[in-house]
Amino acid sequence: MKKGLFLSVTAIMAAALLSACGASKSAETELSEKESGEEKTADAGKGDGQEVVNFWYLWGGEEGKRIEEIIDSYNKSQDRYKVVGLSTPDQQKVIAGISGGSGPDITDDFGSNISNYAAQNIALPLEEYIEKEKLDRKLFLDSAIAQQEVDGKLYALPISSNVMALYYNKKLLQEGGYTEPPKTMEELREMSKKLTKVENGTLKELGAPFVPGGYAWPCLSYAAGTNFGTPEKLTPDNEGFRKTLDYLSDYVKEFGASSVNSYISSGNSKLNTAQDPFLSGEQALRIDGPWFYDMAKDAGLDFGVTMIPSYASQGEKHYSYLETSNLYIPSTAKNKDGAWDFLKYMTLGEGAKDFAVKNVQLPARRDLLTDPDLMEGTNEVYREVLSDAELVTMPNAPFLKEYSAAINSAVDSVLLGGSPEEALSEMKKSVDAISR
Amino acid sequence: MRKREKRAEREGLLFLLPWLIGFACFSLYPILMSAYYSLTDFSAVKAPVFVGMRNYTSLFHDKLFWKSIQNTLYYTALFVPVSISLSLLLALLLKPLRIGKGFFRSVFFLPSIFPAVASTMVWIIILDPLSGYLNRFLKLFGIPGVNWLGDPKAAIPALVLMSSWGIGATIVILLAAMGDIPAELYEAASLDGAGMWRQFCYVTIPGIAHVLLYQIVLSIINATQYFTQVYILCSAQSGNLSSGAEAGRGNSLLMYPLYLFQNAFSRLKMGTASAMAWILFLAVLLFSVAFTRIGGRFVDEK
Repeated sequence: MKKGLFLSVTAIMAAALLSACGASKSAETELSEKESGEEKTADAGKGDGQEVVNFWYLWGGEEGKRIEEIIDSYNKSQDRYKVVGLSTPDQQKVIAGISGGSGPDITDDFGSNISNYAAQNIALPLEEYIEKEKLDRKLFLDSAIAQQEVDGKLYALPISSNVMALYYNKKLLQEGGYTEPPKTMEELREMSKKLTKVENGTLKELGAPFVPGGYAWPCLSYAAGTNFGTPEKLTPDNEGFRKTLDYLSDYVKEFGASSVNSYISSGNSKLNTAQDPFLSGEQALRIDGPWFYDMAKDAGLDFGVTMIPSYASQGEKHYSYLETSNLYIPSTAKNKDGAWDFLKYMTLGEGAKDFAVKNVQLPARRDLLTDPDLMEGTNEVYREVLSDAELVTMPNAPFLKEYSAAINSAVDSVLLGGSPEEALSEMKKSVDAISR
Repeated sequence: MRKREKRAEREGLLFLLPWLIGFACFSLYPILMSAYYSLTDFSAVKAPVFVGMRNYTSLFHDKLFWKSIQNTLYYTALFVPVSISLSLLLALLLKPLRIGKGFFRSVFFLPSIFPAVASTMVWIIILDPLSGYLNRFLKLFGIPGVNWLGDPKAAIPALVLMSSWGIGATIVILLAAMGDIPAELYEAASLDGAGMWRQFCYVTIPGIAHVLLYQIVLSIINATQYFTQVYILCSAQSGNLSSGAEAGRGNSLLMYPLYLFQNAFSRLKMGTASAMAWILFLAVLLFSVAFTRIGGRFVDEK
C-alpha cells in the first residue's frame, strides 16, 4: 500500500515538471506587476462612446509615466478613440496575452524580434494601412525601417533608434601616454593592450571594450565593413568577426584567459551600477548606448565620446550596430483600426517627437534628427552616428536567437583560450544546422 | 450493504468533484495538449501544424539539447549526494541538542523561505570572482580566487554550493523522522555494546530509510527542474540587453529547463519546448519508478 502511494506521489511530482517553468515565470511577472502599479481596467472610458484601444508597453517607472503623458496628449487630440495604457515590462506576458486573445491592441518591442513575430503570426502585416496612408518610407532612417520589414512587408514602425559609440576615460588614456581616442580599429587594438593593467596575475584595469559583452562583438565586427549576412545567406565567418575573434584571442594570450574571463564575468554582472568597471574608473575604452552618457556624467568621470573607429581599410567610413524600438499591432488585436490610428500618431505624428524628447531617445525619423528640441537632450556624437555612419542590424531572420547563441558560443570559446579557427568551424556547423 | 457502499462512493466522488474539475482543466488537459503540441509546429498564436516526430528528431541533432542534458545530469549527480549527506549530518548534530534546537532549526530553515530571485542576487555578489565574499574568504587561507560562475569548470559546483543553502526543509524532515525512532532501540543497542557509529548504521539509518529514500527522489526531481536561479544568473552574466540566448560562459549554465524555456518563450517554438517537456517527464518518471522499486528493497515496510 505504502509503495503504491509512494509511486503515485512521485508520478504527480514528475507531472508537476510540465508546469515548472510556468510557475517560476509567474514569480517574475508578479514582480513586474508590482512595478507597474495599479492595474487599469480595459473598460475605462467606454461610457463616453469612444472606442477603447489597449496599449501594453514594456517601459516602467519614470519612462512609463512619460508614456502615460503621451497617451493623454493623444486622447486629447481626438475624440474617436481612447487609448488605455498598461505597463507590462515582461515580453513573455505580452506574448501570452496575445496568444490567448486577451492581449493588447498595440504594443512595443525591439526590431530584431519582428521577423520571428511575423513568422509566428504574432504581428499583423501593416500593408493595407500603409497603402491607404501612402506612407513614404524615406521619412524613416533606411536601416530603421528595413528592420521592420519581413519578405517585403512591414510588420511594425520604428519609434526610436539605439546606436553605439565609443566612450573613453581621459585620465586612463593620459596615464597610458595617449591624448586622443583611437582613430582606427588597429589603433584601438594596440591601445587596449597598453591600457590594460595586471597586478599579481589579476587584471586591475580593462583597456578593451569587452564589457558589456552583448553588442560590443557585433560593433567591433562591423568595423571591417562586413556583417553577419541576410536571412537567406548568413555569413558567420565574415572578415570582421574573424578579426574580432583574432583581437580577443590576442588579448587573452597576452593577459591570460582566466584573468580576462574573471574580469569580464565580474564586470558584466555589475553593469551600470557604482561598481561598473567604466563608471568606477577601471575601464579605459567602452562601447555603449546613449543611456550610458548620463551615467558616466553622474559618476563624475573625465571622459569623452566618439564614433567607434573602423579598420584603416575602410577610410573615413564608420559603422554602428542598430536596434530599433518599435510598435506593432498583434494579430489578435480587437481594435485594429484604433491601434493603427495610435501607431500613426506615435510614429508619423506628434507622438514620435514627444516620445524622443521626453525620454531623451534617439529618433528613428530622419526629420527629427535635426529638430532643435531634440538637440538639447541627446548627445551629438550619437546624432552624428545616426546621420553619417552606416547602421547595421543583425539579419532579420526568425532564427536570430539561435544565431546569436552561436555567435556567443564562438566568443566564449575564444575567451576561454580556444583558437579562433576552431571557434569559427564549430560555429559554422551550428549555423548550418539552424538555417537548414 | 452494497447499496450503501455505492452511495458512499458517489458522495465521495461528489466531494472530490471540485478538485477533479480543477485537475482536469488546469493540469490534465494542458498535459495532454502538450503531448499533442510536441508533435506539431506551434507558436502559441499560429495554429499548430502536425509534423510527426520532427521536433524529437531535430532535438536529437541539437548540440545545445545534449549540452543541457549533460549539465543537468552533472548538477543532479553532484547536488543530490551533497545536499542529502549535508542535511543528514546537520540533522544528526542538531538531534541531541537540548537547548537551542528550535533556534538552529529556524536558522537552517530560514534560507528556504527567501524568494529565489532575491537570494540569487545575493549569491551573485558572494560569488563574484574579483570582489566576492567567498573568494576573499578563501584568500585568507592562501587559496587563489575562483571564477565561480564564469568558468565552465566551476559553474556547476558553484550552483550546487548555492543550492545547498536551501537544504533547511530536508533537515527538518529528517529531524522529525529521527524523532520517531523509539528511544528503546538506542537503549537496547547501547546495552549490546554498540557505539555511536554502529547506532547510526543499525538504528538511525534503518529508522529513517523510508524518509531518506523519499527525500532523495524528491531532490533528484527538484534538481532536474532547476530553473529560476540559472535564469537570473545567465541574464546577469551576459551583459546583453535582452537577447534571450544567454546560457553562461560556454553554455555552462544551460540547464535543461532553461533551454526548454528559451525554446518556448524566446524562440517561440512551443512544439519543441513541449517535446522537451515530455522527454524530461518520461525520463524522470521511469527513473523514479525504477529507483523507488530498487530502493524500496532496502526499506523496511512498516
